[in-house]
Amino acid sequence: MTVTYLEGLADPEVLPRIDEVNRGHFEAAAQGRLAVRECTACGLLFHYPRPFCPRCHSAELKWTDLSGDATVLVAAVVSRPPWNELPRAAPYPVVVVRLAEGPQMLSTVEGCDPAAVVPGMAVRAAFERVGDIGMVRFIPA
Amino acid sequence: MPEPLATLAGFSEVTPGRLDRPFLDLHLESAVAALRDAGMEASDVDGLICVGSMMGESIEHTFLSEEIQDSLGLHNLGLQLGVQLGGGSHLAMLGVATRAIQSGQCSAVLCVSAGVFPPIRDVGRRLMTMTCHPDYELPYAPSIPTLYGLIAQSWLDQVGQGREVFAEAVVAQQEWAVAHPTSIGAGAGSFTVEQVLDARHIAGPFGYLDCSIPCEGGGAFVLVSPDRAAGLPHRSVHVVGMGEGHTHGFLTSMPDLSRTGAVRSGATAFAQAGVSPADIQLAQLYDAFSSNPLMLLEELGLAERGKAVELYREGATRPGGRLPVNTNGGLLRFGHSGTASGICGVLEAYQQMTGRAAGIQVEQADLAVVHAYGSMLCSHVTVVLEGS
Repeated sequence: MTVTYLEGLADPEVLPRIDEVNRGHFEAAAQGRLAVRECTACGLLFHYPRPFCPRCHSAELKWTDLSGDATVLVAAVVSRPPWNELPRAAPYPVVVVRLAEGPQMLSTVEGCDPAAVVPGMAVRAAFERVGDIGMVRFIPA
Repeated sequence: MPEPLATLAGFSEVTPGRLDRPFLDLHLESAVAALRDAGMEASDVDGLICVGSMMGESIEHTFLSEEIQDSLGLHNLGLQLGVQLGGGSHLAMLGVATRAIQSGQCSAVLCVSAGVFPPIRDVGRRLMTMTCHPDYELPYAPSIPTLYGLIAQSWLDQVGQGREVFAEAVVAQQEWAVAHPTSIGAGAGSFTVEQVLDARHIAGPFGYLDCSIPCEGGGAFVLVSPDRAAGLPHRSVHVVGMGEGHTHGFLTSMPDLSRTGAVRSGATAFAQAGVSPADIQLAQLYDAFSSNPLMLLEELGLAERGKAVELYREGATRPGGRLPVNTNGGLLRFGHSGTASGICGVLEAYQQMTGRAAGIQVEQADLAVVHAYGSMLCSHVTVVLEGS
């Protein structure tokens, strides 16, 4: 499947801080891949990246690319932006999605009527490149 | 009869508003006034707890409890501590003080929290950095109402209700607020459900009137050993049960978006008190947003899942009802004092239970539950109070 790239959504003043723990996730996203941590000891797939597996506390972790398929668990449309300088226009839907492989993540759904984003909606990952990194967002599947 | 663990002896409350007063001075004024209300002097106090800076008040107040101790001339304490659990700090502070009294570490603990919640337009980005994950949540630009909205909407989806049920809580709390002399929201007059639903949309299931009112405020209370209760100037209000429940640090990691640690904290507190949620006559529930009172009534077991709205619709939570909730108007209408917000529920319960309500006095207030939590419904603390 072709990778969808988005632009103009992130606030350049409010980007993730890249470090050795999370670099793999954000660099993969710049290349159009949704990578999460997999614990090689107990097999747990987890997001967000942490130095230890949140189930067994092993530090033996690897990056695993996921399908990018996800389901919306819940959505909240933002009409009043959280800070005045935010470049993107409101309204926009913030969601918690369940990735097909298990982990949940907070993100946004783009490319559709915000009111159409409801629980159970099938979405797939899309990527916004910001400099050397990428952010994972979602679009209708 | 529940066994008293510790006893509230006196209180003070800062009138909420835009006070333009130094942060430390608000604490000192609150502390002195609470001691006076308890009929106590500085030499009677052997414990001091405050709530650490939350809204970035200033790096100079990193050692706030030491500043307060020194300013008040308290030089022989068996306990001195600053706690930080967001909105749950104040009940956590009450919990620490209670355990210190139970263990004999202290006999009288002064608990104080004054604070600020700056206008959102001035602090938006900094506020968000504090309340969500800076790398995995913040860059998607959720607001605080958005994060709460995700939880509230999840709960609505689970119980099959719409946002109009939250409006019931706003309407009921405004009835309490309009009769309260220092409630910030009183001037707006009574609300209808339609008015709340028609207010401009903010995020998720929330309009403007579903959000609490940022302000400055706070206060203090004094907690003493139950064996000193006989000499107090006011009716004794005892701490009889406490519980905590912590399920997650960031919304992303919430195991079930529609359930909270209040289930555990409530069950623990009621079990220790030896009472049933059905026995409760008064509830003060931390309500940063209008969804909380309904959710928390159910999580604490005061209503069945999906049934809290019936308590509102039958008038139980309003003035004259059988289960008054947030009787000063709550954070929604009395005011949300940020760093100090969680103390307001304790202070209002205490005022009601000693027959000293500033607004409408409830008739029967012998057994109360006070509940608060920190951050995105993360750190839950429940306290059961009994008057005798």
